[in-house]
Amino acid sequence: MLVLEAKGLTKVYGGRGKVATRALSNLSLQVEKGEFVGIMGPSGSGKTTLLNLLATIDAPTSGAVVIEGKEVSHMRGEELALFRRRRLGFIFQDYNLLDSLTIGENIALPLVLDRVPVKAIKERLRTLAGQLGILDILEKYPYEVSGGQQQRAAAARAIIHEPAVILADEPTGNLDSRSARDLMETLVLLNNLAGVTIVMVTHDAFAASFCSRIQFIRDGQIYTEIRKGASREAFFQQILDVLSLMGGGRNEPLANRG
Amino acid sequence: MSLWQIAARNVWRNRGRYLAYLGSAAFAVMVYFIYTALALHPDLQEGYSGAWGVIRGIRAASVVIAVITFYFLLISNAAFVRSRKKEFGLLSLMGLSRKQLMALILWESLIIALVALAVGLGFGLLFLRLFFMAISVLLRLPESLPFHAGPQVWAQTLLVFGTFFLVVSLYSLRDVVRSSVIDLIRAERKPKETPSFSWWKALLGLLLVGGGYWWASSPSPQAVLLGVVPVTAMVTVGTVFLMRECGIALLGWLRRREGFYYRTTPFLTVSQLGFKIQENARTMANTAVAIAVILTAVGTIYALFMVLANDALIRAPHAFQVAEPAGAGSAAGTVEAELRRQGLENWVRRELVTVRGDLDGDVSVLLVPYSLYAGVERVSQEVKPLPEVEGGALLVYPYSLGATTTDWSPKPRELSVSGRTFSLAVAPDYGGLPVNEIFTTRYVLVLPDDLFREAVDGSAPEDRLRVTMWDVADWRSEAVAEAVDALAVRFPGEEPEQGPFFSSPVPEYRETVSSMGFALFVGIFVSLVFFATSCSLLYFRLFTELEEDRRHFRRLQEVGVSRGELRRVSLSQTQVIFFVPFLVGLVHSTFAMKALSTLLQRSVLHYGWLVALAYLGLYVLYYAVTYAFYWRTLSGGSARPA
Repeated sequence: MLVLEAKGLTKVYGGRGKVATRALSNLSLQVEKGEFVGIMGPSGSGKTTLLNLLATIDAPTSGAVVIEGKEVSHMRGEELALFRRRRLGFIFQDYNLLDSLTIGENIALPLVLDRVPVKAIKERLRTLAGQLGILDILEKYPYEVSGGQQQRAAAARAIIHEPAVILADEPTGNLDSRSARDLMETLVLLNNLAGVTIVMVTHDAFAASFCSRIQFIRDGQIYTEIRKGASREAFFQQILDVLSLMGGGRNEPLANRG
Repeated sequence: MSLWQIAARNVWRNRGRYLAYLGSAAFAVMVYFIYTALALHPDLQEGYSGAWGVIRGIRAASVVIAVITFYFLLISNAAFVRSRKKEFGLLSLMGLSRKQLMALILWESLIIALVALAVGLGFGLLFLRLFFMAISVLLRLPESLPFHAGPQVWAQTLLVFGTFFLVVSLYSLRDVVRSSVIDLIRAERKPKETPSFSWWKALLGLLLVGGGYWWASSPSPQAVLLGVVPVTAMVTVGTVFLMRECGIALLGWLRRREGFYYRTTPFLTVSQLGFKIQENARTMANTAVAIAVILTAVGTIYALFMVLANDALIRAPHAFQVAEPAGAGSAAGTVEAELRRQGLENWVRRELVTVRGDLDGDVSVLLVPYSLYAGVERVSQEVKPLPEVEGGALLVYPYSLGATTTDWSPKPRELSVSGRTFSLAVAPDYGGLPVNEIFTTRYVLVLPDDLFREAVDGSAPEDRLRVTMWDVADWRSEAVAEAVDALAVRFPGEEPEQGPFFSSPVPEYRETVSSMGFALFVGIFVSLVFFATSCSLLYFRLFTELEEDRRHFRRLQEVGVSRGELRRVSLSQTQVIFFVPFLVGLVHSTFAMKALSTLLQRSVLHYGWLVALAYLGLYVLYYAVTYAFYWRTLSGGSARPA
């Protein structure tokens, strides 16, 4: 079953006298329910633009984004805010946890916004935190825990309201390799356990090797696609090969974002 | 691009934050300028008779304004520079030398100072004439003060505020120059402290404020008078503790009430308010105290104004009264002719033939029968019964201020009238005289009617006085004032034995109104400056945290919080931060007005409420404007639709 579909997305920045930049041109993408899709590409390839369009925080110049059969790219205002918080989950590179809420409250936020009864919130929170191994930091504030823990909390927040799809933007970008591995394992766990659909933009070939399928983008268009076979290690090597073929990739500085 | 240009651009780009600072500074400059112009006015220097003390009052007011302004500039400029540390840090990182950085900050301060001075002096000049006209009316000057703003006025204003701005910018400079580059850059990212509740601080605050309230509500005027300074200090310190601890405790309690807390608006509001209150408690407490001071000061002046004006009636309850030797012809016809000439009709006339006596040989009293005492309208509505003992009488005092008596029991005293003596049991009464004071006879002795008749009949005929009183519906009217002026000229006599002695509450009332009215005017002006500066401190805090709030709100938007929800959250947060201090200030000032009531021996609370209501109106307006700015900056900027 299709969960997310991008149809002929084109995004042009600028215009009206300024120099127009074409970030995406006629890009199409389909994601099945339960898939864990990675999106990779060199800087400036349009990955982040694509994710912003999928995330409904930017509108395409032409084309459409369909999530669970609903066309979202032209929703506005309240309706869009409601859709985003009910059907989408986000994981950002800089965690985006709110400093004024405890980790537990941060995770519970999407449910609170949706007026779920307190008891149900607490129950769901405990189960999920137990699965992710962050039960002991629920009462702490974000700046009191490590980056890896913050990102796991962010992952929990992204999934707690059982969204149609989780969109992750460079989730390992700010993490050390150990924490990055932990996080990716967590995402795989969520993917397997709850069957949640994940779309992740990343630079990091290692992080990408946890996906089940990877779409490579260059110059705003799909370049190629590869699927994971039996072993992650082999997949990792495969990814590196494609990246070197495309140019950029392995040696590209992590901080650069497309 | 020169440093000067960078500085100018910085100021322009930060104009939202600078606005309150600039506005308050310009307002202070304006007021100081006007007051100085008034204090140095040549016509007032020579001195109108009615203007005694005015110059001194104005000078004192301008000193107060200068001090308040200086304090305000110091605090807000320091906070402002702190909020921009990161920017300065980045400039240092890019190779701006310390010297250049200092120059940049000084240039910025200079621009602000120049704009504030220009705007303040411009508006000062604009309003000077209006102010002179108002003052002239209040002081009852024969003609309006001519427009005047000599070089000395300009020089003094420029000198005082120029010095202020210089000192303030040097002070804030110190903060930046002393910090290392890394401190500057990281200043913004310092992790926040988790709101924590301290029992002993809360208890101490409660003790201080509660103790202050208890002291202020003491029924004894001496205790209240003794407590003015310590109570003010106690409540001020206590407020700082209580504001923070109570705020955090209350928010913690709300947080534990999960049914309430786990809903969008409370969830986001309460959690963030904890941090906001933790950081702003001091500013909020200061604002609360400032508001309490303002409300109390203006409330006190207003109450005194009303009370003292009313006090004229304590010594002279009748609009017109003539006392003259009983044997001579009556002047009543002359008085009534004058009243008619002024168009006054429907007066109530009373006549009394009485005599003066001595109480214990040292207090001169006028004898009045109980029937008259019970029949006339006095300041106090209360009609006391005569003491139910042999020779029971009431001694009415010509004042009610400072009446601390708790002992109302009758005391034995000797009354002598024309050589005859009576043994009486006399109880005090502070409810105001039933008959106007007659020259040096300031007390009234109320006797039972039969005893009164006996005393008068037994007195020497040449000692007897005929007192005629006229009451009119509105004794404050212009017609009454005209009649009083005419009659005062007609009957200049001082001793009733030598001819008609005329008296009225109008002259005393008029004098009080003109002197207290002036105090009220100056007081309101000073308090407005105080009000403006203390309010801007809150505005300032709000804008110091604006960047952070913006990041916070952007994150919320990304999680899917709608604009309407964000607006509700920001509204309730800012309302708490603005109106809690006002409320606390109001409670403080209510207790202060209660203390004043004890001192004046009558309730003046309603005057305090009235003043508070007027200020609340101003405050709401101020909040609305501030919030509009805040919300515009908070919600604007980013292009991401939500």
